[in-house]
Amino acid sequence: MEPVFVRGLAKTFYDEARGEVKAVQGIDFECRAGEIFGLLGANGAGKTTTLRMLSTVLMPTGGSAAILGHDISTDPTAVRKCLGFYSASTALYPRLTARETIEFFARINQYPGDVKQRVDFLVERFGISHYASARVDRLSSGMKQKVSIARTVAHDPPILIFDEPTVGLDVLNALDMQEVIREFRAQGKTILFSTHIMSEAERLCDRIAIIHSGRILACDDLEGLRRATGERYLEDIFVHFVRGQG
Amino acid sequence: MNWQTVRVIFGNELRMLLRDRRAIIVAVVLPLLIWPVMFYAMKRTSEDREKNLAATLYKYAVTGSQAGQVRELIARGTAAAAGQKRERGIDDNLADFKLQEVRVADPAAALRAAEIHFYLEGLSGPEADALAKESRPSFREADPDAPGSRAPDQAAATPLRLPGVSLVRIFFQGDRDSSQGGSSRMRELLLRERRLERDEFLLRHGLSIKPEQVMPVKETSVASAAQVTGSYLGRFLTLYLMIFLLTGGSLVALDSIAGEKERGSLETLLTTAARRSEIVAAKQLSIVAVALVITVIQIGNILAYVTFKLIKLPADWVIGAPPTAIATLFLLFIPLAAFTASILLMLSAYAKSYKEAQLYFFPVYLLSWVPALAAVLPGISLRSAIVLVPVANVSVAVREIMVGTFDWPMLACVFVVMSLAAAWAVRASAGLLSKESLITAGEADAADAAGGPALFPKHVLRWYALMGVALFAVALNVPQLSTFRAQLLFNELVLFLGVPLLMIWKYRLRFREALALRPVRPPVWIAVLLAIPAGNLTAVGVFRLANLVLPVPQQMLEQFGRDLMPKGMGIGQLILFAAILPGICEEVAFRGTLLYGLHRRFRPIPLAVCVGLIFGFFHVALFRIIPTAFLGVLLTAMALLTGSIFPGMLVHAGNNALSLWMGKMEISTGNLAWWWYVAAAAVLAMAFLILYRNRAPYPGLRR
Amino acid sequence: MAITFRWADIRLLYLRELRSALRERNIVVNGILVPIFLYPLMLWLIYTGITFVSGQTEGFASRMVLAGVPQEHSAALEEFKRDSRIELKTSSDPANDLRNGNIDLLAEFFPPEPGAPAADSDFRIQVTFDRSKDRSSIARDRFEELIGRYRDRYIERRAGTLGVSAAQLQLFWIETRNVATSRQMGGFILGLMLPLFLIIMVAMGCMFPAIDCTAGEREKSTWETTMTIATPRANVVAAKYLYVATMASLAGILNLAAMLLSMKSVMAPLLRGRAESLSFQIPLLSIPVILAVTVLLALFVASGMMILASFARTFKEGQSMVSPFYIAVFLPILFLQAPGIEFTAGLALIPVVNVAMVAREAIAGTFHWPLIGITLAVEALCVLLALRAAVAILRYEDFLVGSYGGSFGRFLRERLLGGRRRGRQ
Repeated sequence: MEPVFVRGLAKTFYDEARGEVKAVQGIDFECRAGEIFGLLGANGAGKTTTLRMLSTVLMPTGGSAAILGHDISTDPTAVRKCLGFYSASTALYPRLTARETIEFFARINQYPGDVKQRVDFLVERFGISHYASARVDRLSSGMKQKVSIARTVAHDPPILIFDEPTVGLDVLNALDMQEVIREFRAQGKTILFSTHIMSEAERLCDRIAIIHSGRILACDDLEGLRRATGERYLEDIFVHFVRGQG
Repeated sequence: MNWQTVRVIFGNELRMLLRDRRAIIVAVVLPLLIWPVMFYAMKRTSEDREKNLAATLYKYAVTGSQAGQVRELIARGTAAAAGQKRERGIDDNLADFKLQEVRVADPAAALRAAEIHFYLEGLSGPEADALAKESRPSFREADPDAPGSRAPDQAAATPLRLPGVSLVRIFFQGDRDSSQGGSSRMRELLLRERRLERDEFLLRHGLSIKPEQVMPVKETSVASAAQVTGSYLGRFLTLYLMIFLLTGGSLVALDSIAGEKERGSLETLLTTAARRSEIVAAKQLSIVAVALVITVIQIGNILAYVTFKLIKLPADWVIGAPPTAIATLFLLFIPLAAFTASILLMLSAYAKSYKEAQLYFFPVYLLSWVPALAAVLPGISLRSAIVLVPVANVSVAVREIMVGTFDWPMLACVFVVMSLAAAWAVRASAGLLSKESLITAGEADAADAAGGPALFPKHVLRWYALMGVALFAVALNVPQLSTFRAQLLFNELVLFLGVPLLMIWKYRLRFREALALRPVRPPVWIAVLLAIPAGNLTAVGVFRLANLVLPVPQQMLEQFGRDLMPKGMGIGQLILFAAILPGICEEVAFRGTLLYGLHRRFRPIPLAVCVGLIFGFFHVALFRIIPTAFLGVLLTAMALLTGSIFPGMLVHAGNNALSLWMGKMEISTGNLAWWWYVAAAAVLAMAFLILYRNRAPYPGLRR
Repeated sequence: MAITFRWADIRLLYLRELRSALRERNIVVNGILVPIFLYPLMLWLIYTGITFVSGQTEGFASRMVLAGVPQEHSAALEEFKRDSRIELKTSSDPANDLRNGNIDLLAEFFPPEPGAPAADSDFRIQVTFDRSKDRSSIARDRFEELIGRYRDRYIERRAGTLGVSAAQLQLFWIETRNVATSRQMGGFILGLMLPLFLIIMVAMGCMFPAIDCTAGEREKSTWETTMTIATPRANVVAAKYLYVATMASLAGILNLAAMLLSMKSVMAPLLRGRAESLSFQIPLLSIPVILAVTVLLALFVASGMMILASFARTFKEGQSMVSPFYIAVFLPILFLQAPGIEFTAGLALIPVVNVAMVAREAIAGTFHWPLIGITLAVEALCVLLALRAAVAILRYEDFLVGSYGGSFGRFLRERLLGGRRRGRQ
């Protein structure tokens, strides 16, 4: 089975004023080992809800999904253990230092090896060393971003989920982020990645799923999508599917 | 549960707290500085006041036909007080009572102008008799020391002045502290002088012994001084502890989950391998730890003031608890601390931000006082239903331990109940952490954008809060509404009927839908007819059941019975005003717009309970809340099952009419054997079965 | 640096602040709802509690064992039996029953001690009870009351046989009368409570807006948006200041109104039948006086809190910074809780305290105009000083962009004490 395997996954919210809101309406996809899989969609398409379900923050109301064979509904702890989840909304503890932050996440995610060594390695790897003992609330946003990535992979998880990781970053930091993601792929990690930026998806993803109104409209590699639509640029491909659907 | 993970999170929490310098200053250092000032202030003001009252030279005037006698009386009284101090060393404030008589033409005017502190009027017997016939003074105090005629059947009645007895009247200005203080000391002086003179008078007339020596009573208390002290301390110990635990614990708790939610680090934590139960356990532990540390600091603080005499303990206080008692106290305080921490955690998990958590904290804090003060109730024993009420049971148990009369099985019960309550609250907080609407807060609120009917569910509770205020404030301050009928008409027609109509108009609600004006199937009416008497009797049963836990004084019930049954109103009129009108208007307000506004917010059962409770609270008197809330729940359940307001209207009106009729006929259902209530409950259940079989559920309910 | 005010801008900014405040739950709750409801509600709860407890006390019967009542005094026994609050019991082991709480009181009647002076058919009583139990203490009080009354009657009878009439025995009667009107009494009670609540409410109503419009704005990162508006900065600050002061005065005034309206019903259970004799109406003249001092107080508290809160970077930080000031404001009032304190020129010089005193006297209908004048002047001076301080602080640019790590101490160190290392604006 693929490392990330999603079948009929659905999520219905209940809202006082609107009644039922179907955020995700039964989606299927899978990520293959060692690939970058992109979820491409506009704001409110259901990307974040899907990824939050996969990271077990939210419980699905229908369908199922498995991460490395662990079901997200029945065995959430095992799922989270082999998962690194990064998003703009997962903040850091302001009163911990950078090093303490990484150490905390390594321990809490039960990193099997020597935690100290791992922290040293990550501090070195992400170039955090000269501010490793400063408190997070005193760091700049670029520094915080590096600490955030380091804490995401603190326990060396085989699967990484990035939910719109480049939102709010400047061009250089965004490029850094892309570089890091590529590097993780090179290490053999499976990466699930969501964005609404076409160029990013185009450049980074091995395969792309276009998601709109809680449904997956298409899922293929870039070539496949081009063939299916006859369009050259991802932007046009996206518009083709979304318009065609609407 | 992986304790390694719990330990990591726990350590992390504590480390972050210790780095929050400002919070620690506000929570720990500030109280350490303020307490002494506060105690000093309180001590100082009360001492100053006493000193002032003692040092004042009281100016007074004497008037009336018997002024001369009164002057002599005062002179004898002051001399006696001085003599007593000289001879027997008795100093009861009266010895150094500094008095100066001032001659004024109009003592009343002088008193008003604050030229004198008080004045006395001496009246002869016939004058006093004439005065008594004229008017009955309203501000009149009983004269407890005077023997006199008492009506034989009215044992506790105040004694009366007999005809022909001369009268001394002391006039003072109650809104002036010194006037009040001076006059009450003058009164004391005169009372004592009279006692002395009466004793002499009796001895002169041949009584063989002093009256005070007749039937001497000697008292002994079987309680040791330590037990008495224990009973005083035990009354408030739980409350103080609760306050310390709550304020101390809130330092971590409010920031712990709510603050993390706000900063976004909660989501980070939720995506780690830590289980929710582990996260909650670690946070719970850190709250308990901090709460205990702060409690210890504060208690140390108080002990320090006691040592430095900033707080004066009464002289006869003996604190001497045996080690087993202290150990037992600690054993009981552990589940109390755990419970407090879990409540705080729940609050924090429920709030979406630190600010919101703070907002919830205050009412929770105040509410916690109620059960913590259970030990103040006289005659309450742990061997009652109170053992099942969390916090209240600790309060009572602590007092029993402090007094040294307790039994182990009941203490064990307290321990178990508190532990279960704490465990429940921890589970509930873990559940709240999984509650998605609370985690992913801040998603766009569609209702605000939509406006109109969509906004109504968000605003409905505010409207009812305002109605509650109006109910309280308007009726009591508008004199035109002081009669029973006017008040009822205002409440029913303006508040319960008018305001819902206003809401319907303002939010452009659909009239029939908002008020659930839907026809029902014929069998429903059979159920309604069954439910009227059965519901009435079951509510009485519920009231008696509640009475087991918190007994209602008989006085209050009688008073209420009198209020409800105004004299001079025929049964027909009563039924119109107190049964039919409430049946229609209150149903419109509660099962109409309130239910409509809330029906999407809760699932059916919590919905019925919520509407029922609000209905209960509108019945003001504390002891009525439980039975009326019960009826409210029944009526709401009916509306939910039938999707219509009409059955509830009939049951409501029928229930009120039945109560009124029984009141008029003096039929009491409050003392029936228990099986009457059980039978009534069974009939009620049958009625609901019929409703269930013929149900046409309220549309748009949450599943 | 000349400050130019543009009132149109200030008005616009002020209204924006007010509008957003009325939509912020914390501010509405703390500035409007709590002042209206909290104290009436709390007082109502306390008094209901008191009535409840006293009702309970009266409700239960005291279980007494009376042993060895002499034949001649069986009338005493009858009197105990007649009293519905007393339940006579028999016990084989009264000492033990008393300790276990099965009975509340044991009264043993003995013949008078030999040698002691005694009247005919006199007796002495040994009462045993348990002071650590409320029920037992209540039983003792009831016993004393009954036996005392019996004793009085006995003496009266004895006096009768000696030829003394009951009227003679009364000697003279003492009566106390309060000549204060119901309005004066109501004013007295209000005067004891209202000033304290007024000041607490002004401070509380001020706290949240003050933090919200400074530290809160920084947290929501609207601070910079506001600072880039095309109007002099002084106007922005003035608008915020006026807004905070408005909210503070509003809280105070609402609380005042709520107390006046609900006082009667709140006090009713405490006063039982006497509620009618109290009137909680205040003289008309006192309204403008209290309003004037309240507004000045609000202006003062607002300036103090805003200065402190503007150093903080987050709402929470702001709270920690402001709470010491909050406490400092109402701590002096604690010294004034005794009813006898007179309003002197010395007290009129102390800020906040003088406001409490003016309010207290105004409620009672007393107006010492010179002292009120001093109070107004002192408060106005405080406001001016605080505003000067604010202007002085606002000159530092790095303060505006939120430096000093949210620390007032660091600001003092770096700016005022440590010399001017960085340039002024």
